[in-house]
Amino acid sequence: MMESEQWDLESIYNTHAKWVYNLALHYLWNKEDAEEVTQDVFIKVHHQLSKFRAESQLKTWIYRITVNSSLDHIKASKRAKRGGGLFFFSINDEGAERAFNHPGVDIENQEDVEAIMRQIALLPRKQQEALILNKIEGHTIIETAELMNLSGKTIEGLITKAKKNLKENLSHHQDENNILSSKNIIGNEII
Amino acid sequence: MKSFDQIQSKFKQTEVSPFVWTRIQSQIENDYSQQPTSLARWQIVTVAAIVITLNAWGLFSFNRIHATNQNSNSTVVDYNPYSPYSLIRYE
Repeated sequence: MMESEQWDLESIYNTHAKWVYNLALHYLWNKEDAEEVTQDVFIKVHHQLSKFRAESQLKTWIYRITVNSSLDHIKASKRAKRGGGLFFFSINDEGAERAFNHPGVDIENQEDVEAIMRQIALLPRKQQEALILNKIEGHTIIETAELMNLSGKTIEGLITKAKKNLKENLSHHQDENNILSSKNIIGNEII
Repeated sequence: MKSFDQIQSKFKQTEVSPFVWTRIQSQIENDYSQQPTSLARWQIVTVAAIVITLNAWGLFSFNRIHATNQNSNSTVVDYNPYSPYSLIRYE
């Protein structure tokens, strides 16, 4: 590896690695997979580094790689569990089967947060992205719009739909204790 | 908003393990060592070009010999799958 390339990648890694890792965690729910995806993301960045110089463009690009790599990782691990078959399955099958072991969530909150995250994982992809960025990562609507390369109004629409879908999903599972307790987290605004 | 602010507060930002950067570095080093040199690339291209040329030449020769044989043995021009006029049969 050339000295200058190494320096470039290292500074990019130091600037972006933490949010990449935490975003991956919101999709993958465990440390090992999130670390693997973080590694993949920066290897991809390294391979195409010369194309990107503008910082804002770079962040959006890294964001896209992170989301795509996370979703690919979920698909791949699901496929591996099914014995390596090549058949297609929807990402929306996700929530039910993966173990939730998010290192950023305290043990006393694990159960409630897990119930919410499983429901978020069932949402359509764009709604899921908007919700994670805006409501979990804490980005503003403008920042979310920039990262997702969409307009602010579209993001607001996605979040409204996501909340509506989440409300419906949660009401379908009203009998389950964990979902009932998760309602306390989401609050009356959604329910 | 109040509702999702509550869930946001349940997540703490987590630091990335320093081993991730170490693994990235070693993977990049590994990729570099496994990349073919430009000389090796030229060798692959040359061999591929030779194989394609020999194949084309062999096919061309076969067509010519086959057509010559057909002409010398019979007045009937048989079906030649490689000829552009092969659909025309002369009786």
